Amino acid sequence: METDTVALNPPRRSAEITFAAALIVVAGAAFTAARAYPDASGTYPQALAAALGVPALLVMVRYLRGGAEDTVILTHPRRFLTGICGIGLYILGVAWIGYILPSLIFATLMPLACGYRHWPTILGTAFGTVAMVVIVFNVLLERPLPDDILAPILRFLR
Amino acid sequence: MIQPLIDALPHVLELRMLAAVAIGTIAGLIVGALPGLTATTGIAVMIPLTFGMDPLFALGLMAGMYNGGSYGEAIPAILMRVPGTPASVATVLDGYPLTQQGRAGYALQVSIISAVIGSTVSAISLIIFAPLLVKLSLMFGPAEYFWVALLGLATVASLLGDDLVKGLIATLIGLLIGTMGTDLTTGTERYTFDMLEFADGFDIIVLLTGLFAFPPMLFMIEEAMRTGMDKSALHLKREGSVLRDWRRFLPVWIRSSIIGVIVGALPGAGGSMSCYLAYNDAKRISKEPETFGKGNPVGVAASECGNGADNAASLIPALTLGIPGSGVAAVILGGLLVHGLRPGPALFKDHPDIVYGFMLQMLFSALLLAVIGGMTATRIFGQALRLPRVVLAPAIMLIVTLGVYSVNNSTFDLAMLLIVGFGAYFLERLDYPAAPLVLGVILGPIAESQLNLALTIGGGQVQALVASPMSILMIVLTVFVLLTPLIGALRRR
Repeated sequence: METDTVALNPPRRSAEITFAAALIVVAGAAFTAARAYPDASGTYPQALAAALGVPALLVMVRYLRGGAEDTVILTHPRRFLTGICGIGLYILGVAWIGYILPSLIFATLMPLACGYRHWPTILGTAFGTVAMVVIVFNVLLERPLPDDILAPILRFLR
Repeated sequence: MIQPLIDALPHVLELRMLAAVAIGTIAGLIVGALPGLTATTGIAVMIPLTFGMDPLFALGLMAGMYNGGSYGEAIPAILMRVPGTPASVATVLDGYPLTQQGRAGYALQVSIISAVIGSTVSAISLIIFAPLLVKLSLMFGPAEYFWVALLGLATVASLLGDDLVKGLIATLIGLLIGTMGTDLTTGTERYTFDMLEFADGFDIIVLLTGLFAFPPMLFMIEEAMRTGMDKSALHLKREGSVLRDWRRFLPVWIRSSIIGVIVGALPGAGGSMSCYLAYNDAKRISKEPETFGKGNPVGVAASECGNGADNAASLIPALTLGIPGSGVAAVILGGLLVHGLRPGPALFKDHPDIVYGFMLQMLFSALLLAVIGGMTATRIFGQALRLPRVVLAPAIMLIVTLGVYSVNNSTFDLAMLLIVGFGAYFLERLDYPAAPLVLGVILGPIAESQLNLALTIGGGQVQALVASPMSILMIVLTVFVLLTPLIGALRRR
């Protein structure tokens, strides 16, 4: 079932090598950036960046020489993609239209996307969690919510 | 000391004063259990509300909020792997594996009893040892704090996990992230990418939530488990009382309490460091160190006891010198000032009934925590775990999203949460441990700034770093902590 998504799911060895290579690039970039800082501010991050490059190189060499089990990184690539895209869209939604509506939609659609169909539990949890969070954070502790298109209704209720 | 205590006791035992402590403890548990909200936030919100109230009533609310909030953070850490602050990261290490093994009730029981013991010892220390510990804390200057930070970093040795190289990489990533923001010594902006949001460094709450809460949420969605935890896993009587195993936990409770009290009493060093040091100490003396990080209840006991022992102790320098030992202590100082109470030696002379009353309230709130915390944690919060995982994961996301947003009221933090969480998922898949990364982020800046200060004060002479007996003691302890795993490994061979 998951074979068609194997391209999204690299073998562990490739993932280890890619990640270690990325760390070496980051360490190099951090080292170069730190050289532009004045002495007292630059020495410490330069030393750290150099120190990060060495073990990252060790890890890369270890896996280039074949030190990894023949496994893949993701157990269910499709569901992983669903999860990460769902969370990404949810955070975009919170930034654009506020907390309440995206939260209700996300907490309802995500279980459905995972094949769970017990509506009372889904809706009860979605509405219950949103209500609890809004009451504690916003009403009791007066912490602001992200700009919400439902703000006029909330003000009316309060 | 005895007479002021006796004088304060009847006031503290008044029903309304006890009610204040109880209300504060309940509010603290709720605030602490919600990611993004901490005891510091709770007390800060509470202070304006207490204006005009009887000072002892207000302080009772704050004492309860402090102890309740400090413990409350352990609840999501154990049940959902969501540490609200760095102080509960060490609790996650063994608490969440216990939950995964179906022993959530037991883990919560261990954490509450350990937190109560730590908080009680801390409150008693506050009452008895305040003047003595102030003298000790005054022996610490920048050089000594630098070594204290290195001692904390040395505990990384016990958190590196099975792959030492990957553990080291995680630590170095943390130290590098810790350099982000404005260097206070020179005013240089480092790794800020010209973004104002990074001027104060990478937000620790965003980092913690992304590192610890995000990966399990994705795992839950990936596995699409349509069942929740069995009711019996939250049943306290199933595994019997933790107190029945007191012989197993007693050495850890004693040692962690002492560590927490000493670290808490050092101005500015408290908070997260005591739980790491206590956890490391418990692992170091354990006969089965390899079980730590895999669901050893002793790890939870050490972390929570150390954390609890830090609480009242951090008020020692705050009350006697006006120097807060932690962020919460700083807010409580503000609360004292609002009520016209100026911290310092004069406070003990002019208002002994209030200052000793407050100390007693810290003690009572620690004891109340056993009743209220035990009931709340297991009977209310624990029930969340009975939800099917595919429903629970989005619910956790809703809570952490607003928690992260409310720290700075910034959607930028939400974007960072997504990026950190995505990275953390792969770090975990590739077996890079998260705890050393957090330790690097927290302690790296302390070590760097104190080193700079010590060298500036010492005229750039490196000898200034080893000029005091306390510095040498810290160096010896650091070397000892670093060498212990090595000696243990050699012994096993």
